[in-house]
Amino acid sequence: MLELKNIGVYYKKHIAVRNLSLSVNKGDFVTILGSNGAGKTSTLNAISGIIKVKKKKTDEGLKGEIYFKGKKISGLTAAKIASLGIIQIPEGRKIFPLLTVRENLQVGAYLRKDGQGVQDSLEKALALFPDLKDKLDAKGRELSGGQQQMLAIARGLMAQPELLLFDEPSLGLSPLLRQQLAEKIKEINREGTTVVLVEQNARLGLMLASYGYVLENGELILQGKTSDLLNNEEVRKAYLGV
Amino acid sequence: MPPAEIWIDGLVQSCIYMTMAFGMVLVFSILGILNWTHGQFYMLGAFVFYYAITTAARLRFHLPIYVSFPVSLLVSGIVVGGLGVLVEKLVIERLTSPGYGMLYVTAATLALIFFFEGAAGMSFGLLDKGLATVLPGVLELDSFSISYQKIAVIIFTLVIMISMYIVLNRTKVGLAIRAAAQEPTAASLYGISVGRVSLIVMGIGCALAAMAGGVMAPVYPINPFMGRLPMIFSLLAIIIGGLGSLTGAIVGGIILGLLNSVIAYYVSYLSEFVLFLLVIVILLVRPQGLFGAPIK
Repeated sequence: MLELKNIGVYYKKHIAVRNLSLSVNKGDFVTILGSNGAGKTSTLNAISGIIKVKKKKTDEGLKGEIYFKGKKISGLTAAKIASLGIIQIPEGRKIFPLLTVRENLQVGAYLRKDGQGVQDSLEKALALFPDLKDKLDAKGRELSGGQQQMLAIARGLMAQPELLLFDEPSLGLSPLLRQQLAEKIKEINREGTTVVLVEQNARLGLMLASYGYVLENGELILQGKTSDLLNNEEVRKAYLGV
Repeated sequence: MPPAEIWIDGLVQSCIYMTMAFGMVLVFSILGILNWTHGQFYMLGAFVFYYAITTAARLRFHLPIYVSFPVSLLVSGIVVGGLGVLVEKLVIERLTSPGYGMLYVTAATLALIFFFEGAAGMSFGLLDKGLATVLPGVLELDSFSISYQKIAVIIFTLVIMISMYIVLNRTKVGLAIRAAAQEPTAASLYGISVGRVSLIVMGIGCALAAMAGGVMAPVYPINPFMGRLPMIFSLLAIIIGGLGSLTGAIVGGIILGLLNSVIAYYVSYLSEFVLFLLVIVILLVRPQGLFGAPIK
């Protein structure tokens, strides 16, 4: 479904990702692990089209090719890529602070034309995150951190994505909220949405996903079934602290 | 206390500054730039309005004024709004792409001031044109009188601002604009094309300036240089209101128009100078403007 072929992400002063190839099948739950600065967010932003393809004149951008359902998407605009069914829940939630919760959710459904379907999705999202129900008319910035994360995910679901990219959803959440969030993400995947989860919290990523990639300094150092990675000596030492 | 006429004149000025400042802030909130050509869109709007309304009369359409006035206003908004979209596409978009610093687009929009003024001078002539006969007459009230032209300015500005409120808060386009202004990256992740939103706000902002010019056309003389002063005052309104705040643009515009008229009543020369001093005093008390976010 998703295929990254030898991609590199270049910034002015450094290279964030080099020579990364990765593939995700329909219905998969894949996690990308690595410490801070390993290139995880850059990888997601390359997929979403936030990082533009590197041109000859500029010294930053994306090199390599990305395919979605057999179609090349590297080079398309972020808005176009979203319209193909790839939705990212960005790091730090990026809630629209002055829009109400309801409007935030409407933005999620921005590309959809099926009024009744949008209504159904809204009800489904609120059933998954009942906390948001009483907050529909509150401004985004009035929510707590946990509620904002719930809203960010609900907003993503409103787009009816085929592929959902999560960037560090557990960041800043209490252990209890993190546990709840994990269950919600698992449920979303069970219902048929393909998920790519980027996590610094390796334990969480490995617990949820079925396949994992481990990045270090922008390079892929390990990949495999999460059950194997959990038993891998290197992973245990470097990322699980055992 | 100045007489009612002074306040009414102030309110009429408030209408221009508020409409222009609103458009400039709208553009700023998405494109992150101040469009220095904004005053020339006001000027072009007045000319388009002038030609629309006089052409309609010359062709003997015999439209009643309550039809030809708003239609001409709409025509000026559409024509000049379209021109704004072109400027965004051909000039601003290119000069704000990665690799270009802020000064490129600043220089370009400053240059456009003289391009549009020169082009207007070549096409329409440098002499003042007037539309004083469009809405003749004065409404006499007990203690004061007000011309129908000024009533039209106030009514149409109200209509324009209410329409803007509806567009921004009740339509899908408005939702896209507000989302892109608050979190552009997140907006693009959900399919909102920030490039397209830029074109739309530039169209709306320039149309607002044009309609401000059109609505004022019967009140002030029309010439290629009429956009300069309103532009300076609108900038001042934005500074008072707080850069980036639409509410601030409206309130700043109202305050500035009234202040300008009242100060001119007391000190006829140097009144603009006194106005600027007052604005500096306001900024000393609130450096971020009335509605701006605190400066860190």
